[in-house]
Amino acid sequence: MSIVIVYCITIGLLNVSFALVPELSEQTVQFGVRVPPAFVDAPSVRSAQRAYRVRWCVIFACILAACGAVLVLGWWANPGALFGLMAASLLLHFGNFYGARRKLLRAKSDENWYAGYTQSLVADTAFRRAVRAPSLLWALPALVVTLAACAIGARAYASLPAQVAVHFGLNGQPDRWAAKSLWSVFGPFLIVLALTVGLGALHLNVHRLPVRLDASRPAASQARAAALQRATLQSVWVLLAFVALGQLFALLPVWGVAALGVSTAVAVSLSTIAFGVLITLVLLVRAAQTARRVDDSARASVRVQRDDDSFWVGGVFYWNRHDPAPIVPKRFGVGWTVNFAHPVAWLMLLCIVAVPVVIGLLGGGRR
Amino acid sequence: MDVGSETPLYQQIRDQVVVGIAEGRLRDGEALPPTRQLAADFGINFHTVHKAYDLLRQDGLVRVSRKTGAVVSVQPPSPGFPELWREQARVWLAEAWLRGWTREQVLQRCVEILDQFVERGSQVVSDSAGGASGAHGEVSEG
Repeated sequence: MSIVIVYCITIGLLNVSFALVPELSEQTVQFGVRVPPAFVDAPSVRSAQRAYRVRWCVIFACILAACGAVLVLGWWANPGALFGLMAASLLLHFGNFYGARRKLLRAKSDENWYAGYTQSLVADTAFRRAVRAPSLLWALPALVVTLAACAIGARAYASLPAQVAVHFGLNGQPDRWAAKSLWSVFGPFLIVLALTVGLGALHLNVHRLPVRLDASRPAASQARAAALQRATLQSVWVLLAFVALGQLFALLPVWGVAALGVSTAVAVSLSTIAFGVLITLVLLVRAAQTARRVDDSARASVRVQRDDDSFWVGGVFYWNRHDPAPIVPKRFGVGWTVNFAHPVAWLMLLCIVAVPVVIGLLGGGRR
Repeated sequence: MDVGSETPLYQQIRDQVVVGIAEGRLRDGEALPPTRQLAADFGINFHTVHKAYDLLRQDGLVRVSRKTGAVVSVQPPSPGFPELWREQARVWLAEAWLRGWTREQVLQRCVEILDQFVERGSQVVSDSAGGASGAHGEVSEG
């Protein structure tokens, strides 16, 4: 039954995150469309937001009904059911998002929102002196959990059987086994350690990343950029610690350390990770509220941020040949994204894809 | 920076730095951001920022070295500066005059702007007092 709770949490989080979409971006970027401050409450914008919320409710009700059907029919032990529900949620919510976006783009062009405004770019030469990255102590929980897990695993290593479970199915039972090796026992934690190193590198170099401010309200958008930068780093560290803790919980019975059933341990593990995701969401949503709304002076400003919709393909993918930055702050949502028109961005993506592939090959080779 | 303006972007950056120094938002000896970083913050080609810094260096407002990057360093004006400045001021004053502003209105607006420099940019003004007082003199004549 505990696996059912994990299902509900996973599907619930996925759906709720789409409900939060309008709350995550500044009012001047809605559904991936740049809106001048004077138009953020325009009737066409309000109507698109309302339509998005209504459709979200309908989609959520359908998903809930489907979840109920899966439970009643007893299909929850079938991995396809969870993936089917997740895929349906994603597909329907993305469709809803793009529907709202299309409506806004039409209104933007019909109502000629940018007529009479001076489109500007601003930068603050003192931002990096004024804003400091959060302390590296945020890395400590993830590091402590990982090292503790490695220590526990090392003590149990000698008594482990020749074949160890390396993968668990959605029903909470191990479905793949491998010969005992450093990789098959400590692999998950080596991945967490690799992520810790990568995130540490990002943390130490965060001041090198570009900061994009809103020309109609530079001071407010600076406060927002600082809050988001801080919260993104903190929340990813928290998430990493919970992921490591979740891995540890799943492996305790495999290592013969705790007298837990394997399926209970997997449920505890997934719940721990889901809890980490929840904390991450709360931290990010809270930070995303900083200076989200435009004030009266921004509404009255004739100087507005440049309309950069043409650089954001589908409102989400950044493509700007003239931008020297390979990584830019997301315009919509929280965190950073790559500039797909920059060759270095492709190199980075290649590395990100290559690391798990190499790890997989490494793990596969030793099985 | 206004992206739709007819003034080139490098000129706009150069002008903003000049005003920033005069208003005391950029202090003498303060380092300007590296060209690549400022270009990334704007999302524009870094040659544009490089060109702006180069103009500032030629104007004797910024010192550029490989070790320290671009640093605000206001030098005494070149011999041709008063004449050049007079020509530029003439155009601005002519426009105001054509729009029907009186001598008092023009002077009042000039004084308002200058007061901001004196109030907030005191350190830099005192460093280049000779050039600044010369500028005061020409405004009153205009």
